[in-house]
Amino acid sequence: MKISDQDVLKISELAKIKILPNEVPQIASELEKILEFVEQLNEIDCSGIEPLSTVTVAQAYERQDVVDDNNCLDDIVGNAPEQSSGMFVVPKIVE
Amino acid sequence: MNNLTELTLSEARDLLRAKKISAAELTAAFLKRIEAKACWNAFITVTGDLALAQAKESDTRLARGEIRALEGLPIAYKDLFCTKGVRTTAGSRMLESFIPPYESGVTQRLKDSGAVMLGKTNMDEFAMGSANVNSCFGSVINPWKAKDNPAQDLVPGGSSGGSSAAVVGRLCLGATGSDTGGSVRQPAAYTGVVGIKPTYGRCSRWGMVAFASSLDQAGALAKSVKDSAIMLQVMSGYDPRDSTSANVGVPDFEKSVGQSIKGLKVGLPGGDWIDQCDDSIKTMIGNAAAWLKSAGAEALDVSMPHIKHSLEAYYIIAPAEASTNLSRYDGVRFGFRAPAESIGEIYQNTRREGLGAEVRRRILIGAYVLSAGHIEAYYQRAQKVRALIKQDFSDAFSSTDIILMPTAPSGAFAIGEKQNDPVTMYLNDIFTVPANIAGLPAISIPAGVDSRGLPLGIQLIASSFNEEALFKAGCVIESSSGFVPWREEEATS
Amino acid sequence: MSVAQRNYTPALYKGNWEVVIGMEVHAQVISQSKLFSGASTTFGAEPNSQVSFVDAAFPGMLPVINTFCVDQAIKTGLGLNAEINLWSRFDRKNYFYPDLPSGYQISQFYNPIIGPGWINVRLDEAKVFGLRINHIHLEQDAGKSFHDQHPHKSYIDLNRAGVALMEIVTEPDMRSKEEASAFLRILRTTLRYLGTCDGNMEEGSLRSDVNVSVRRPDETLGTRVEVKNINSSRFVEQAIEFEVSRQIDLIENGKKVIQETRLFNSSSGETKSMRSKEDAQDYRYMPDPDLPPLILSAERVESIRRTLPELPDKKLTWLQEDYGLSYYDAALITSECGNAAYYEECLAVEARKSGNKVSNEKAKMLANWFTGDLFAYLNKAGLDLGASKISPAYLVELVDLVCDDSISGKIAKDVFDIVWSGGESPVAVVERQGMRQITDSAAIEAAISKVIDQNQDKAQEYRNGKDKLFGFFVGQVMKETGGKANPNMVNDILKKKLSVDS
Repeated sequence: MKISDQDVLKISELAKIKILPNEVPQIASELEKILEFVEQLNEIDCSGIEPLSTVTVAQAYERQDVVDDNNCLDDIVGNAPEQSSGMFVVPKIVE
Repeated sequence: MNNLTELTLSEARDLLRAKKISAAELTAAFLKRIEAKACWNAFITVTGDLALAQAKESDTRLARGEIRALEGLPIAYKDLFCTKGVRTTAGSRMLESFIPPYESGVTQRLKDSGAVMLGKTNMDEFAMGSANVNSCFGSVINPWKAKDNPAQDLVPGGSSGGSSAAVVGRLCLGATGSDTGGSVRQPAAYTGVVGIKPTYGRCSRWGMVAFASSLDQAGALAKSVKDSAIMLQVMSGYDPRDSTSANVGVPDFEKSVGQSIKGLKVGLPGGDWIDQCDDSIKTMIGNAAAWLKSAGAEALDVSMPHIKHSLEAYYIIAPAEASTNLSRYDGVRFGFRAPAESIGEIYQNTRREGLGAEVRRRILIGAYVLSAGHIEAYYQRAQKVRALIKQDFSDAFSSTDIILMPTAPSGAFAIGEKQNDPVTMYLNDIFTVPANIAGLPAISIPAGVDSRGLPLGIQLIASSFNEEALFKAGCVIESSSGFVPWREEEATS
Repeated sequence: MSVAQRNYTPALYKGNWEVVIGMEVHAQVISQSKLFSGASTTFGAEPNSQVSFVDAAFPGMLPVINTFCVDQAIKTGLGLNAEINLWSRFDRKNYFYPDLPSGYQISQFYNPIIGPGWINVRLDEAKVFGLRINHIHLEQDAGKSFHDQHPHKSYIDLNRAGVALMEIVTEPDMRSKEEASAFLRILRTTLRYLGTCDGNMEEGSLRSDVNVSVRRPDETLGTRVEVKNINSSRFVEQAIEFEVSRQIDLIENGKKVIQETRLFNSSSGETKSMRSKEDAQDYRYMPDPDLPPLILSAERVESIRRTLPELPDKKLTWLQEDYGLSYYDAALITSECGNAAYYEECLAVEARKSGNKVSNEKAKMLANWFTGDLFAYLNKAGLDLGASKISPAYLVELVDLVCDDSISGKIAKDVFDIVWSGGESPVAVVERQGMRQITDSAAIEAAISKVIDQNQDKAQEYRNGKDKLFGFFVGQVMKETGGKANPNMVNDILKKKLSVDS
């Protein structure tokens, strides 16, 4: 798949990873190489095959509806880069 | 004892129980060697004081006869297992100063069994890499040197390169690793230690920093098959906090060690896929098959038409899952935050500066293969291929007990090599990813050296929850090869 | 019960525009702990005090599903006549926002737990239509951002992050704002009957996204606009009203409606563009690899089915058909499950007492006392029905006292007041205060004679044709008997006595 500069900027926005304009061609070419590699999958006939998203043998374990993991405010905000009155703080979000 | 660090885990266990040595002196010996071998950069954090305190407690228990499975045995944890109160970085600037307020399921089990934590080992950032050159704490250096170029630093494999280097370099008795596409087995092969990745669901993923959830599984790196069985025994078990954890019994793995393999059916998948390997590897596969046969096993060819495509499927599925698993690193609640004026810039700059190039690349690929217009062609197609690969294994296991393959296509390479092109680097995982794609247990056992005198690994894969077959057959390869790499390494480095 | 056909033709807007409305309602599931963690769901706690490491998406933390939330979704599905999918799965909806800690919301995009269903929506006594539900899925709520604490900063509280929501997605079956708000009301009532969502609008327990389009009748669907996050049925009506006229204006002026997402401003009653379809977020839905598929047994579904309460539409029918209640009364009684329970308890007490089915007349009286007097008292005192000082047994006792002529309807109001303030039973109040009605005809005759004696002139005027004075005599007799004389007897005897010359 050909990766355009526009594609790179779009996924940079989706992934929220800043990419400088002068880095775009290099990244586009790297991604293209990787995609070209994985496109070897197109050789395989997958018709009628159901996608497999997990190999777990587990059936979902369902927890009981009890409150047993609460009130650890200090630990929750303890690693925060910025916090105030027990809340995480970020620059004002403009809607 | 002269050199306590030369003991295997099981030997040290026996000596501690016989009160011939103390946990404190054993721990001190390892801490001393860790300091002496700091140049390998195997550890991100060394927890000396904590280790000595734990050792002291173990000595008290040993004296009282209150002995737990790993009482007083110093081991190391890959730095993606969260350790309560001890910095856990996942090799990333993003978590450079993150102190988890909780203990991972696997390390809690090790702690509860009396293991002494020496520290946290270096790793490729977020477990993404095959050479341990992607750590924000610098590359790990393989204790081995090539005969033809002893001055050159080699990679220890990745992503559990700190753990593999630490085990072969005698900085610990054993170490935990994690294996998403070969991150336990491939570094084990490059350094000449045993690396086991159990069945998906055997070990809890709770508290293990996630890379790709459907592939990630904890594993053990150790000096011998027996040591790896002893460690895995403790690490395994159901954890209701991980919904993918399997509620199945854990057999006595150590018991399998040394058991007969008479009648064991060993499958050999052929094809151009394996023909591309170095000759030394092809020879070694032949040797391994012969050793197993002479121990009573039968070898037969198995057809697995889709497994050669595992790597392609893997490089869609793993980045896709990683791209969403790593969205939580946004500079809001914990970890690194780049200074910025708006929330959008915080995200963009934090993730640019806090994550390394390879991690960013995989997140971008992951976002691409999941994005509108591409998800069917890439992500969903890869999942269909995943189903076919799983079927290949099921078919193979209808006539065989284990599958014999190389662990990696070559021995360790130099730091800086294969770094220009990501795909070349990815090819190191070609033989290890199939077991992750299918969720199967697999082990890498050192079986010889290549033309440069560097260790090579043999890989065995078994059906789900049949780790015992790996330990049995692994022992045969181990004893037949007569190769004790962690002793030979000293001669080369 | 079965799905109703619309039994009326919806009015066209401005004469010739058909309005087409579909909704996505986010209903907060009633549960103690969150959908995937053991943190509490209690509303209004100290910021970030009800957050687990899972909710805050700390490294290595994993979701584990809450079995009760699953049961609640099943119950809701059954209550909305929906198919229950025995195999469902959770997906990640990826986007960045500070109140979404993991950078993805765990939702069900590809395989929701509840499939197609329906609910009958009544607008009034005559108009009803069946609304199809497309599906219902479980998902996590996000946290809350505060923008008013600091001039340049936003503050994030994750207490709500991870609380279970059911997203109820309808087909575009509504044709007016009235239909939309009627749907929202009956949905809220039904969820409250089921006990799966408290429907508390102020706390944001029920939030709606409304899809609105307009077209000429019989044409294909017009371009739809989604108005997001509206938290009351009144605002839903306002938003639809605004959107419909905005869209019609555009089309009538030769412009096109663009497919977009809009936000409703509750103070201006207007909607404004948030993002167009072209900028639509690419959510990159993928199955959540941390959660195995959710597999339900048919037995589990059946055992939940057995716990289903009778739902309002059914009650509404039998209250009218079996007890002759008016649509108005029946609708009022069934509008809240607490009301219905109270009223049904009254019927049960009465049936036990009499050993017979409650008569339509008595049922009507009970309904009047309940929806009239009791509601007025509760309103005035600012109390919920649960805190009523008059139990169903007391209300029945009071109505029985009226029916067997022990007290008049007027005295009954006094008794009601005394029972309300004192807590004594109506019978005890009547006995203690000697309020029992006088039904002794001799005593009533005596009182009447006395009044006529004292008002000979007026009696004469009455006999001369001034009929209006009859009321005066009734009043005087009641006064004489302390209001306790049986009014019918007073009427009868007074008529006789006044007509004959004394």
